[in-house]
Amino acid sequence: MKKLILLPLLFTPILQASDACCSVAPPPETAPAYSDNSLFHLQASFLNTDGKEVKLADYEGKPFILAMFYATCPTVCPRLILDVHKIEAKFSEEEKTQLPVLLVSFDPETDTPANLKTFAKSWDMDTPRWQLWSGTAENARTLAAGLGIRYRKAPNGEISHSAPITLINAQGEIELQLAGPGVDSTPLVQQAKILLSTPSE
Amino acid sequence: MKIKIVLLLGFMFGSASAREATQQIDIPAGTFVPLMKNMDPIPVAAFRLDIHAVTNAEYLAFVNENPKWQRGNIPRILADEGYLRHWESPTHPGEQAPLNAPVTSVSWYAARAYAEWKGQRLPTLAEWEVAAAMLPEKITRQQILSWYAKPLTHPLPDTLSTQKTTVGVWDLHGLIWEWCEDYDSLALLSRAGSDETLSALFCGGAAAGAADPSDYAAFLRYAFRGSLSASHTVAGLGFRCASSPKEPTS
Amino acid sequence: MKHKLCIGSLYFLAVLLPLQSAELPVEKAKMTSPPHVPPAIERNHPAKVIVDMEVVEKVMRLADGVDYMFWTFGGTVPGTFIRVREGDQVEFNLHNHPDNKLPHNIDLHAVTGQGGGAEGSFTAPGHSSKFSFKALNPGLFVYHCATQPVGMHIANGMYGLILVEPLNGLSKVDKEFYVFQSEFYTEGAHGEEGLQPFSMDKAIKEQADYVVFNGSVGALTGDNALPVSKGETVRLFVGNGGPNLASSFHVIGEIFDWVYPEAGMMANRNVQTTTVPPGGAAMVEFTTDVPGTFIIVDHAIFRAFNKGALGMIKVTGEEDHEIYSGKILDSQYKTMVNTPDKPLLLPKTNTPQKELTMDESIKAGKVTYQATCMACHQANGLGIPGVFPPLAKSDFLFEDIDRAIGIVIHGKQGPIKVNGKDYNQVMTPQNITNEEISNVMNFILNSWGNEHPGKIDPAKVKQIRAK
Repeated sequence: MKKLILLPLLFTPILQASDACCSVAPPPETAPAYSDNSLFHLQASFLNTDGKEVKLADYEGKPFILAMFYATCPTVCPRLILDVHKIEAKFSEEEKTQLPVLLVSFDPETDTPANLKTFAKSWDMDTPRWQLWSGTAENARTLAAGLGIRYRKAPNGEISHSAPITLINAQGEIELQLAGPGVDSTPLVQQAKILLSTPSE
Repeated sequence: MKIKIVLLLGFMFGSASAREATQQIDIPAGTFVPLMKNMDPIPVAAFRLDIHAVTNAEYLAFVNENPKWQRGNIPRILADEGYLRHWESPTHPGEQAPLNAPVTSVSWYAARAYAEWKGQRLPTLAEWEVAAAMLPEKITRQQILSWYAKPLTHPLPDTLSTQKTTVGVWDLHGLIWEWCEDYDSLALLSRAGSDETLSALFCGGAAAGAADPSDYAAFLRYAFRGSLSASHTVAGLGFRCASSPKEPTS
Repeated sequence: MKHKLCIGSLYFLAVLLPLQSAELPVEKAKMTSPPHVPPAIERNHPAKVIVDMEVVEKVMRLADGVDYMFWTFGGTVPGTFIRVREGDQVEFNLHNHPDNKLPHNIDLHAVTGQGGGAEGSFTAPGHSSKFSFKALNPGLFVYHCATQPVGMHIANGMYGLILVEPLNGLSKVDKEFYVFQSEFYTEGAHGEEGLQPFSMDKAIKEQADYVVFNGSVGALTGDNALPVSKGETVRLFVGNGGPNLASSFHVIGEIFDWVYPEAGMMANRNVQTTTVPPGGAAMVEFTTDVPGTFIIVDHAIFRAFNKGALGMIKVTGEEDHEIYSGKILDSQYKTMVNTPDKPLLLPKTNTPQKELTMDESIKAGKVTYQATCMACHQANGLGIPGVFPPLAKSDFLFEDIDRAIGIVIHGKQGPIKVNGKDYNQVMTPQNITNEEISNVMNFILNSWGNEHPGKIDPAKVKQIRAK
């Protein structure tokens, strides 16, 4: 009985996914018809490794994996990136092309587009499917707030931060969040596969 | 898309200059000593801070010019359903929100949007704490703490009604809570009994133990901020704006 | 496609939810305000039990004339009593009222899991949190708020009890009550009137101004006494919120037949006083064999006499003189030490105060009465027949008011007759000031139907004291 009650909650985003993917993105002048809980509402723009201005809503219509990091992090972020690699390994090549990975820096001062380009190479990241963004401190804070990430830059430049790995659905809603590196990623992989199996055309 | 952003910025600067800014005063550089023992003191550069919290009247001007921030027009992710709940209507504060009382029940996103509209920003937590610590000697910790021993009044008292700091900033204690730019960045201690979880999640290590365990009001502020998410609205939570000095200091 | 979705989702569910909770019958938790206790649980199987607990910060009476900003679970101090059964899956919803100033959470000692639910329930004002736990261990458990600064949240009233009934239930009794001790630290001294803020300094020094049962002075006395009929079996669920003081829990004139010390499952028999530590509980059981007013105290006795730690169980029914005779004989004992001519204790010197009006004096006198006189003469001024003489409509009192003032100052020993009944008890000299005596006399002479238009002034007391 309980299962029946819970299932619709889980299906809701999926059904919306199939609705939204068939509609055309509204023109930017009118208020976009994003859902109430869509991160696409956040007013924050970033720069990708080519120095091009980008924003979260560019991902509209497809699920993606999103995490925040900073390139000079000595402890958690390397583990975080390794974990995303491990998650990727559980998908077929075909699936991977449908599931981009986005890493956004807490530390735009140090993590300039050029620095992040070098960083991506050193980590063998499959660019451009993997995107590394930076921007301004304010915009990093905006995104972190939307993802429920807490962070603090110490006077010595080190950043204390929580490090969740988040699955975002095609509407920009948080579909599922893993608390951090080392957490069993099975639920995220399963849920991502469900999203991917939803017909996209 | 670039074009749109440029236009937007132009619009914002234009409107900000058209408005008379709330009086801000210079807060001298200082050092914020976090409550947690193992955190280094944070140097704070000189900055400027509103002498009082943003009022309902000021916020009304904001929503009049920015209808998308009116109650009913905001997606839930930017403000929960309590947003401006005590206002009579989306564009009329009414009896429960006197014009000179601080605006409350606004989310962090809303507070930031307001500050941006004014060409300003929210103070950082360290800035806010430095400003709030500049109290005349006659005000004791126990007096600050006593605010919590009184129920929230409806409507809230006007701004400029409690006490002011030695440099002339009003109501930092005893009127409302206030959003800061990085409001939850020190919230490591806030969830009692879960320090271990948090320390596991925070690289750089989470704090346990306070430098000054008798500063109960500071504990309350830390815990309060730690309970918030950016979309939250709370009846006793408002904000004020800050800005960096016009001439950047070296 | 649908088929695929279902499989995936079920797997997802299995990962995130305890599977069996999905199959349990659902019910609302049984919850009551103090001193009441929800009825015993009748079902013999586990259930999913839903608890909705609202946190409310509100001003309430701490003592007569003294208000306090309490932070409460469910609007009362102690908080709402929750009753569940061992093996239940409890879904806990914590609602933080929008008018509250502070975030709160709950740590239930019945929870096995980090923080006892503290993190899962950490909630900003105007928001709600949900978490779930399985009631693994039976017993009586304290819950409390665990938000920083924890001491202040507890000191302001955020505690209560949750009973996890063992699988076979508790033994059947006739009456169950919820009695909870805690202390309060106010900026003003004990009895100082008005809205009293929490005193951080006193709390740290552990200098309580009030030690009370069920959240306020008098919450279990007078009209609020716990009613029991003679012969009934009684179980008290006793908790202690502290924040600092352990309770030496005692009921005057009763012996606990059974005590479950520390609210564990092992029972002790024939106990006079049991210790209940802050953050701990006990279950005590007894049968009421004789009628009377049985006073609940913290036997660290100054807390009872001077700080409010008094409660009452009123047992009605037929006397049984075999179990307790009352006074049988009074005779002169030749070598009895005479009543001292002078007071044993010197009166406190105190700075002159502004003169109070009659109304102010009566109001102040009530506070003094509660702290000093009520334990014997009772809240209703009727005393205890045969033991403590009445003050209400007392012929002895009105016959000679100066004599009465003298008794307060110097004490009294030996037989007297009040309203036709004989009394022979010792009243010790009361170590209170002339002002306090004048106030308490004005209160006594104008309460419970007493009327005495003439105001007693401190000067009058001083004059009698000097005689």
